[in-house]
Amino acid sequence: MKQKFIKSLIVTVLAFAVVLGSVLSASALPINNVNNSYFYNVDGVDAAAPLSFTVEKHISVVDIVPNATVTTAFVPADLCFQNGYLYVLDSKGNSVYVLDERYQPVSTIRTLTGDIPELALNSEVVEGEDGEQQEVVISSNKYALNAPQGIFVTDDGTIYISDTENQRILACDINGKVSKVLQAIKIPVLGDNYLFKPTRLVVDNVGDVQVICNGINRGIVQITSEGQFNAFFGTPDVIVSLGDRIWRNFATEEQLAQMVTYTPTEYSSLTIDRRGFIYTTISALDSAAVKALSAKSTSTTYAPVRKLSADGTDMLRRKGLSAPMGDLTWPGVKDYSPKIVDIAVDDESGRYTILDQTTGRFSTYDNDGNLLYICGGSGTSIGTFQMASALEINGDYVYVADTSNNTITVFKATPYVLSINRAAAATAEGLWAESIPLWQDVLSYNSNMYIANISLGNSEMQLAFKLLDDEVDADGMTALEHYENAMFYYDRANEKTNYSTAYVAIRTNELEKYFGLIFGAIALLIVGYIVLSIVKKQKKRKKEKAQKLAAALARQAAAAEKYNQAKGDEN
Amino acid sequence: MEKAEKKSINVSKILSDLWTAFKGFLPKLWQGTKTTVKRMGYAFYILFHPFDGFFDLKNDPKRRSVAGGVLWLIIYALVDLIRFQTLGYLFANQAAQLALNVPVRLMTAILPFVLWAVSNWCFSSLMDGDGKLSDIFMVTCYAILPITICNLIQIPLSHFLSSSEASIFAFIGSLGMIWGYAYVFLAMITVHQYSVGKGVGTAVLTILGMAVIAFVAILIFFLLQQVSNFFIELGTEIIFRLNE
Repeated sequence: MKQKFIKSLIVTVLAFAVVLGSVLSASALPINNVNNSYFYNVDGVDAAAPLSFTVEKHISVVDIVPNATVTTAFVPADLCFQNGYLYVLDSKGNSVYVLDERYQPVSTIRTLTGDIPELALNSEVVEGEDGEQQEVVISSNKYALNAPQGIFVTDDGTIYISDTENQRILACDINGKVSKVLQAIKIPVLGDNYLFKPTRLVVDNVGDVQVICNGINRGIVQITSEGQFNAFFGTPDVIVSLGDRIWRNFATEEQLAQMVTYTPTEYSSLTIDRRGFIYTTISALDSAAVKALSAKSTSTTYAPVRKLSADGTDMLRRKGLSAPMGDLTWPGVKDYSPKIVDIAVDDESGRYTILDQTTGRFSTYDNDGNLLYICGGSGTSIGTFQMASALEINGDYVYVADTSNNTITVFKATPYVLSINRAAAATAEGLWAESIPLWQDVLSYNSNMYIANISLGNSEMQLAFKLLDDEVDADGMTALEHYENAMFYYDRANEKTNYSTAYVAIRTNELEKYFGLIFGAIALLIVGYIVLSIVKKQKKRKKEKAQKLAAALARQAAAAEKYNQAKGDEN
Repeated sequence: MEKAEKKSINVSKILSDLWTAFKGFLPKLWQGTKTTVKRMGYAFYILFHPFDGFFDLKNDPKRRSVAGGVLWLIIYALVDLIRFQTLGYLFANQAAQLALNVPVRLMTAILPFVLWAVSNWCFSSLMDGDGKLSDIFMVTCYAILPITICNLIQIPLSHFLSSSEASIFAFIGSLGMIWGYAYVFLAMITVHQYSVGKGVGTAVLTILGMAVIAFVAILIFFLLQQVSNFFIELGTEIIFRLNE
């Protein structure tokens, strides 16, 4: 009886412990799923890194539309951050939401007001069932948006919207009052049947609109502020392999028709920085590009990310261990190719973030092209995405729109990322001495962060360059000591080229210091050799002389003896 | 009691016999080492007089020393190992240094020359060469001295030079290589009394032979492994059944 009681007691306690344990472990799970944080180390291998972002807010349609349910039409196709407001373009609900810093809607643009011209094309010619061409009227309202795909807000608060299906670009204010409509844009080379369907767009300082259009693979379309087509801009290069190029010369017309046609790839997104450089991304990479990227090529030909100057040349610095491309590898995928769908630039530091749709991860690079940190992921939990489509950054915040979950996730930088940003900003401004403790702070978070070591080395080198021989700086260090520190940091980062530069500086100094000694030793050796050879010669001469003398004496003696003998004989 | 006594006497006798033999052997070993080392110095003469040097090395009984050749080869392998591990920061491959496997490194240094000697001997007997296997092996080992010397020079140099002066480092390395391999070839034609044309032909055949030997060796190794695995498995199975 007693035994049975103890048994049941034990069972009860165990069951209780199991329940309690599971409850406790469930509550200990992190709220967001951005916990497998990593970083590519100096060998290009993913190494654990501190968490770079935490999810601050997860915005769905319920949060921004009053009386909305989860089924309310809402697809956040594009985002733009300007003057403290986050502008969300809804391509399904055909509206624009303007959110304040607490992510509450300040204004919602649903209907447009003002003087709007009639739609340029409200009918479309389609082939009917009986093979005759029919004109079908597209029921569209000129006072409403129709599946818009791109939004851009200028410094003065003018909202530019790519009203894609209405084939126009609108400029309006925060209340929806239209100030400008760009439509019926004729692009001569594309003929009359071309349908102008603008997507992502930016507006430069002059007021020209740079827009990516559906079905145009000649680059970005430049439209003047008056609504005239200006030029194609930054046309991507066509890459044809050498073998194909030769083969094409011998192929017949029929063969050529069957061969793959080489066309330039379309841009997927673009953004503009303070200085007017346009950053573009390409999501559809061909196999040659994938191969080149897997081999960590830093060639500009295969780049998924570009920074275009005014004449369309690629100015992106690719000083990192690989070209900016997001993830270098992906488990289980050979020749992994990223699908970069959006890019955003931080105007202060020139650092930019790219969004990869396949992995749902966004990676941040400094303006030299060094990978700084990665966050995000693929999935359905908060902080991961099913189809990440648009990205916007605002200082230490990153906004990512997901067009499958139809949500916007607000990420806030962790102290680790803040320390990197601070240090990188100090380096970018040339505050070498100030940047040293900041980078050391980064290393205290993540010792794998080779960029911190390289930057520390660079700072030490810059400090050393400023000093003359025997001069001591504010920290009481000489140039040599700075060079030695630089060598230490470059060694940590396995940065041999710069290490060599620092080493040469130290070696030159050592050689100068011991120049007298080395030169003296060589001179002494030469002089010693000469003296020794002279002494040897003289010794030899003396010996010869002595031998000659001895020989002469012997001869004399012999002669004397002969003489004596002769004399004796005579006697 | 009696048995134990008998045993102890035996042990002491064996020990004393061994000691006597060892005592007799020791001076011989010392004398042998001394002559070998003295003869090894002839490699430095060969450095600048290859034709006379290799001919004399083979034919002059006062200069011939197979043991010296073995020692030169061991020195070559050791220098190769030391060079690999003590190269200056700018010239070393740190990842490879960390992954160093000493026996493998030594074997990869030694085996090609042993293989060359064996393969060359096989073909020279077909191409009526004059050299014996010991001759070929000895002269080959003497011929690689330039590589050893240049590798040795590279060690202090790598600690002094910077990356922009890497061409000097590379030049010395390739100088040693070309000098050494050219002497291996010269040694071969001197030993066999070949003309240059015949020497080139034999060299090509020898390299092909090396590949064949390596292939066969690997084949035999894997076959033996399979066979041994079969017997081991058989044994395990029998033991398992017996225990059942």
